[in-house]
Amino acid sequence: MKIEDYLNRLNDEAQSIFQETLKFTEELGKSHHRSACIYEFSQHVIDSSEKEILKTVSAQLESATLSACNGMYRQAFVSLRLALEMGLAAAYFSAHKLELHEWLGGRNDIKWSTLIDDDNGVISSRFAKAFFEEFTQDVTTYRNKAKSTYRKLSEFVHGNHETWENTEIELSFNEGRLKIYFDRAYEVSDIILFVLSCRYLKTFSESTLETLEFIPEEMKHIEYVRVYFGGPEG
Amino acid sequence: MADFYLRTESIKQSDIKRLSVVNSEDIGLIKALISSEPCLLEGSRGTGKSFLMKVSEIEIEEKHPDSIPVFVAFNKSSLINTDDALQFYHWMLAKTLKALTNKLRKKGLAVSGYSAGLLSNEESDNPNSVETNLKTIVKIFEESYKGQSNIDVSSLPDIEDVKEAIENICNENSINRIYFFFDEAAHVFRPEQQRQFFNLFKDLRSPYITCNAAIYPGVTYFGDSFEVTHDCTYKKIERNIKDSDYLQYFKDIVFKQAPQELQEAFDNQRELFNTLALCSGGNPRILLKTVQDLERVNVSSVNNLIKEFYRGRIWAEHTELGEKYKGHQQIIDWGRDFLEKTVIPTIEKYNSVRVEKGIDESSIYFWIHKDSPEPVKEALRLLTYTGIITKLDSSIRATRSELGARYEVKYGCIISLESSPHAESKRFYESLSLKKHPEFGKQHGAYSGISTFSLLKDDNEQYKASLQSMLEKPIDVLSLLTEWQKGKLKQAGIISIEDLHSKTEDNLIESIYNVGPVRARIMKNAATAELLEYLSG
Repeated sequence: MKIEDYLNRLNDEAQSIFQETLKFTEELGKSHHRSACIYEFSQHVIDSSEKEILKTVSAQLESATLSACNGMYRQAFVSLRLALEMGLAAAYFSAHKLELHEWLGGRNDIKWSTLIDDDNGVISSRFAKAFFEEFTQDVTTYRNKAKSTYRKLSEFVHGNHETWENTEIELSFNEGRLKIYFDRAYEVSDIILFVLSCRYLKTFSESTLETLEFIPEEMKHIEYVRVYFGGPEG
Repeated sequence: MADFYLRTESIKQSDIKRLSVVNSEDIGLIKALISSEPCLLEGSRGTGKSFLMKVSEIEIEEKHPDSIPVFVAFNKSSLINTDDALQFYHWMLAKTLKALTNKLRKKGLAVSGYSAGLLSNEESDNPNSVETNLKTIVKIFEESYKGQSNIDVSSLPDIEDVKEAIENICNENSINRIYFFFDEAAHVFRPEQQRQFFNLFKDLRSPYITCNAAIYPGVTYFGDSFEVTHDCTYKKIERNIKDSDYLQYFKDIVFKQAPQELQEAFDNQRELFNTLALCSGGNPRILLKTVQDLERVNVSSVNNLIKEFYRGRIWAEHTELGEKYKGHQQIIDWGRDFLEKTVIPTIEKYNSVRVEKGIDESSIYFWIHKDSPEPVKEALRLLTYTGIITKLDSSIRATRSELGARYEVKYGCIISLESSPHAESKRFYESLSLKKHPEFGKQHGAYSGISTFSLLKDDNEQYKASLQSMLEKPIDVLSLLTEWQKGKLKQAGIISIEDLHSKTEDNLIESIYNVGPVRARIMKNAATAELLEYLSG
């Protein structure tokens, strides 16, 4: 068999998984909506490097979904993890310009442990107090969520044995895996929107807030966010 | 005590179903909300309007996959302070359409133009796509009200363009109908904005669109073009404490959220729970709040809480209303005084006389003559917003066959006056009789404080100007008056609304032949009603 034939056969298989996955219109729509929200959010961030990172986050989320559609679930989870890291990194860099420039110059790496640090990370009381104090109420919950999601996604990156046991190595449609993907994609975008809201909302003008109607829509159960957007108290 | 969700907005969409308690009356309301007819759902604050709309949304999602429910929440925003009615209309329309685009995206029926270019180099998909059309319309509206462009208003898309765009979306995606659920509209908007809102509500009528909105009693202004009886199905949330399933229904609502130990405590002392449930007068938010604030499940905690809450704290929302409806502030404050100093003590006395005589009757009701001064009726209307009183019916015959309206005072506000509310509650509740109530005639002494209310001074220039133009209008605009009455008034030199407003009833009786107390009241009420309708802008 020639290499073309071999790849064509894999592509055929991927296509049939793709068609099967397209039946999950609503879940696909929801994932897309949230990545589009992050993109739209990024358009209002003034710093061009931070904006660019967030654009990458959105692109990563889209490519994660594309991988999942093709049955490449492991790759999908890897992209999700990258999106999570980059999303938090954008917020982190916005408060640490020196490190941003070192990173842009290739002299510094993004370290998850730094991003998620209990005291100095982007989901810490210190960070929230500096940018939107009310968020301090929820930082512990969200930090734990972020850690847990990151850990689950990492299992696919590090080749954790269990993740190999549960899936065949060959390409095939796996509904259970796809549903897990949708759940993780939701968690990742939820955490990113939380962090971005905490970091940037107070820097936006009222007219910008008007155009971000998806924030109060997605986060209206958090009272201080709802009230900040003019929603009801109590 | 444990924390409870006091607002639907605080509940995640995924938890709504788990927390919902639906009785037969609710099923009727949900049915109206998911029917193709537009529906207005009226209820005082905290009675569960938003929650029922959410349940209806889920019902449509689950059982009618060919329809799309869209929730639209109008938040307070400085941009809605525009004086331009058309701009405001466009603002609402843009918000509504954006909510629709987001929903279409979530449903997988539209793709964001931004991210379409993320993975490939194409900047945008088909420029003629439905989503692009809708987005263009939204963009034009946004630019027009943000003042970023000097667009000729006549060039803006009109409501027919919008409806056509929606119709196309439906046809292309095999969608049968789009339901808009407008929450909090009447709460956020000033009266003039509410009139615009109901214009939009009416304008959006189409075979592809159903509008539903939650509104409050007492403070909702429909405007002239909206006719409640023709333009919608009008439903009220009514949870009568006399209903046979009342206590069970409210127990279910609380228990869905209450931690295990609290449930057990209430199960062991059901009467304590029943007292709290009755006090809330059919209001889930007040019940949840009082349960949340209860220190312990015992008699003294319940008694203290009832006294503290229903004698004092319950008035906070009513008084706050005065800040929003500044033109009505005097009437709002008078309403509280009237209820606290006249109505409630009168009902209390009415009840204590019966206790002394050993008659097994009690009341939380009162009756007001239909020809009472307009400000009195307005004050009572505003009291229904928070649900401290509820209007039961509007033409009930009382002593000497006179007609009037009957109201119920929230149970908690009456029972809280007892030294031991809980001990009294069971007997009191069982002997309640709707037919027993004190009456307030058309000339009751307590009205004197408000029958000549002053048009409140407000620093707002726009308010002053609109009030002035209202006062200068000739009395001919008063549709409540007959030609004969108008003629008589003019003969007496009363030409404008201001002239009429400045005269007391006694002035009218003295200066116009053939006008006695009845006609003087009708004439005064006509002018006052007109002023009150527009008083808060």
